[in-house]
Amino acid sequence: MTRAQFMNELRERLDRLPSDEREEALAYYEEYFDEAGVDHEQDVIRELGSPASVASRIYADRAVKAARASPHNPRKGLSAIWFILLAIFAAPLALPAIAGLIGVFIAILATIFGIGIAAIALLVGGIVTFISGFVGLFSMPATALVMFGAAFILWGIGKIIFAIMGAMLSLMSQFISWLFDRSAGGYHG
Amino acid sequence: MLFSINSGLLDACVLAILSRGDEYGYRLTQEVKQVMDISESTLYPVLRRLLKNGWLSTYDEPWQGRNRRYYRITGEGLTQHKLYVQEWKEYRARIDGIFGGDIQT
Repeated sequence: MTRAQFMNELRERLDRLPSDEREEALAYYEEYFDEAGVDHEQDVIRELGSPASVASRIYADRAVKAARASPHNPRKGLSAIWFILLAIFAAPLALPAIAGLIGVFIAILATIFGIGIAAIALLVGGIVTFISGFVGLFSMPATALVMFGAAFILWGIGKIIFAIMGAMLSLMSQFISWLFDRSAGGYHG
Repeated sequence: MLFSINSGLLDACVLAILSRGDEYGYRLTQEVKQVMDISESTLYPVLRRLLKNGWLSTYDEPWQGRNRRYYRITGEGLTQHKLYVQEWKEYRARIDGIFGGDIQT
């Protein structure tokens, strides 16, 4: 592999990054090649490993950061999931291992997604119940009070499930960062 | 190396090197590699993280018709560096205590 091939492949692998971040990363590695000198291009390529492993580290680092920034913000959580998936897809593992990992992660994500839908249903149900309680507040106050109570219960359960979802997400990204920390220290080249 | 390197230790080493003067990516990597068994691709995410934390800043300087990006430690970075040094001293003292009197430092 030549330097140009390496950089081209890295560019393709990083195409999910915002363009300014991608350019920054590419500039860093271009400079790295420049500093090492033309004679050492092959050494650098060997040391860096594959473009896939370089890309995977960058995605992994982003996933960890997105999750740490605000574990209970669903939008950030989603972007963390996204980068976790990208990191997995870019990781230079044997194909069967990747397939297995992807299967497991898709299952976990599907579970989290399902729980999220349930939480949203509970929250919506809570709001609807609350509103219908208001409608009947004067004609049948006792029923309305019961409905208010039910609404708060639904809302509360929904919030709890959301919190559990956030915890699952951050746990997952911690696991990913642990995985990459280990592989960062574990091998050379 | 027998002991694994975690990201905190890596951050601490980069800050320590930069506390003695500005460096560009390639030289910084070579310096870290002299003491730690890391891959060349490890340092970019580390530098990015330290920049995002506000512990480093960058500036470009022309060199042979292109730019070299230098990394400089910030005031906050220096504070963090001192924190790491303090933590390390305490950690080392505890480990030395367990290892016994064999270690001369």
